Amino acid sequence: MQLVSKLPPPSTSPKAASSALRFRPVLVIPIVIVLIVLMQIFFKQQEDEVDSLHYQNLSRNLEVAYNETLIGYERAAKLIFSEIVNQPEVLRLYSRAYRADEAEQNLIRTELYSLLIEDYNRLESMNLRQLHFHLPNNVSFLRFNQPDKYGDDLTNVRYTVARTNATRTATFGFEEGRIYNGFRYVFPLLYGGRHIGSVEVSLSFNAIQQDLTNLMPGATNFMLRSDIVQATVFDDFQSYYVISDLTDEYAYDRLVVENYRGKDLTWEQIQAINAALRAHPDFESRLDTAEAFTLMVSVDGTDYTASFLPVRNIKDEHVAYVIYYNRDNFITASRSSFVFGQVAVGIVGAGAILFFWYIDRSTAFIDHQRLQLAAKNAELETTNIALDEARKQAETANQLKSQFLANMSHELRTPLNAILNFTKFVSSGMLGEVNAEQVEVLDKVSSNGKYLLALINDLLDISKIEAGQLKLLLEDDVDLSKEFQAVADVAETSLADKPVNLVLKLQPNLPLITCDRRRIRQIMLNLVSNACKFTDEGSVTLSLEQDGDTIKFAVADTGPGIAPEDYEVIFETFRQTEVGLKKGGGTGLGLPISRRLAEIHGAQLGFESVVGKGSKFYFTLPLHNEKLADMKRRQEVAVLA
Amino acid sequence: MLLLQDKRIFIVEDNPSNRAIEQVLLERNGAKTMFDRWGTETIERLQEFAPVDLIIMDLMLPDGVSGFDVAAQIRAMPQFNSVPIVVVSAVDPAEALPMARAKGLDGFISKPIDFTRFPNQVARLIEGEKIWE
Repeated sequence: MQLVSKLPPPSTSPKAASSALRFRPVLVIPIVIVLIVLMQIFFKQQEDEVDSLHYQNLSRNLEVAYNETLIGYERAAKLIFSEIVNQPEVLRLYSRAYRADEAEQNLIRTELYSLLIEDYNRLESMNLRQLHFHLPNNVSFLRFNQPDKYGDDLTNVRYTVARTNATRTATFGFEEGRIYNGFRYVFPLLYGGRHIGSVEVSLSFNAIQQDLTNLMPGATNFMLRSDIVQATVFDDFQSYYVISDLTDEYAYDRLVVENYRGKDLTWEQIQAINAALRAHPDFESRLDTAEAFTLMVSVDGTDYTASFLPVRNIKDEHVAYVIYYNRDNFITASRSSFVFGQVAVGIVGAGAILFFWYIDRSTAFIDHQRLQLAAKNAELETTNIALDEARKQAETANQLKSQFLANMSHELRTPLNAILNFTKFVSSGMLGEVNAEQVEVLDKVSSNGKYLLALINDLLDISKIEAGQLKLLLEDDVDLSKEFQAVADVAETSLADKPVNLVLKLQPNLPLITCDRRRIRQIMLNLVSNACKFTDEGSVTLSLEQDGDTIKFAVADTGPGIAPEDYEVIFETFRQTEVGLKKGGGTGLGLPISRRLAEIHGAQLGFESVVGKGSKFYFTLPLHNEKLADMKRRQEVAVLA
Repeated sequence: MLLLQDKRIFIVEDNPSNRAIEQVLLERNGAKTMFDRWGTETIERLQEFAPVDLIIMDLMLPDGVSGFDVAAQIRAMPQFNSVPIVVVSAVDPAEALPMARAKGLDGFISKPIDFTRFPNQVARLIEGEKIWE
């Protein structure tokens, strides 16, 4: 693990660089914002267009209603003229007026008045405001609303009258007047083909207003240019007008105001609307254009529209406005639908922004995770490298250890080869005569050399076993009876000097097995040499026989036996029992090595012992050992490789 | 008539003591021997010494050379491809013996060699027997 910390942190991996160049979903957000803004502008334009169309419609509606009303009254005026004024009786009477002197004119005036006053009164209640007779020279002859005012020349103040008398054709239109302003219908009066004057049938705005009120919801009003009122109206009739609360430049007809009978809006509401209109930034400029317009204002949370229709007089001069007020939630409704649309777009846009932001963040998060993962992987890789290194070191160490063991084995046996054989050279007499005493000493050198060789072999064996390095030299078809004979020969030699009977029990025709012949013989020799060593009298019995699926080798002796407390000790490395130590010799390795060798062969090494009576050691080798057969095959493959 | 009368045995062995032992044991039994610690002239000396009845090969030779490689080199020569080669070595037979067998050599004798049995083993090898001890 130290190796890991020494390595640089894997932060600068190429993956990190490439992910920085990747598409970032957050970059879509500006596009979404632009789209939203464009949508909002589009909505705003649509909204303005719809508003403007609505205003146009309102203005047009007012114009149509107004014109229709005028046309209706024009018909009415024509009817009044033809049915009431243009009658032989009236014409005959009035035909004398122009030529008559003042006294006669007064008589004619009185007669005419009495002739038509009933009709006038009846018609006045039907909004007829004026019935006014003029002489051919445009001098006023009789005003039915003001019978006492007559004789004034209207040439310069009543264009309608002058025009009608001049052209002898009817003239219709709005005209300001000296008393009232109104819609005048002036008809020429002819008697027997002779022009005898003209008559005016005029309507108050009140009449038009009432009709408009009947036609349309809301309320209507009328206002006249103040300068015209001042210029044309008789001074004592100026009070018929009041300055408009919308602007000083226009005045209301007092009667209209005082007789206001709006069905939908109260006069106070109209005043409130007017106040709001005055505050409207566009109002004054629109008013100055003398063209139809509509504005919307809000009063106490209610929306109203006010449409202004310009009225032109007979001379085509702008003189007045017809005003139409109405509660109007169309704009609010359309606004709210647009607001709904805008909000919807806003929400969808915000959602999209959030979405892309989230995606971006998620992507960033995933990138981050990926980087962390890459870092972890790199870390793991370095750990793996370190572990691999450690494993390789361990393997190398193990290899070095086995190499060392192999070398030790070789290096220790090589001088022993010389010692043992040169000793033999001398003791055999090859190099000259040797006496018995010398031979005895040389034999001691030999036996000690052999003991040293055995000790070296044991030490190397136990080292290999404990290092897991012991390799079996496996052979097929091993005839264990041969090994038995070899071991028996050794036993016979060992027991030659002692009063011990060697008993051999070898079952003939034993099956052949796969094993390491030398190692099996090593086990047998070990058990036999132990038996021979510890048995001073009695017998040592060697047996080799088939026992079920196994071949069993046993050595029974009549030695001192093993105390139960030593049952474990005898299999511990470098340990010997008290009895063993007293006997001398031995390394304390024979039984541990034998047990391990037996185990490696799949055999169990066991013993039975009675103290004072003897011991019996044995092991059983399986006839068929798949593990060993497999190991044998692999060894062959490994050797050939 | 000695056991190894006039048998020509070539020994590759770097340890002088082991060489002396083998020489004494073989020549006592009538064999003619030639020795070489492994080196550049080994093959040349073998060719000079030919004909050969047996080659005794140590495994751990100077400069880290393995006796198996030398044996393979000799076996590759048509002149010697039928001469028996026996490994006589102090290395662990558990590994070296199966290798010797797998490489087609004729025997493996562990050191220390047996004073009494060694001449017999050599005689059997010359007779064509395989010895795996």
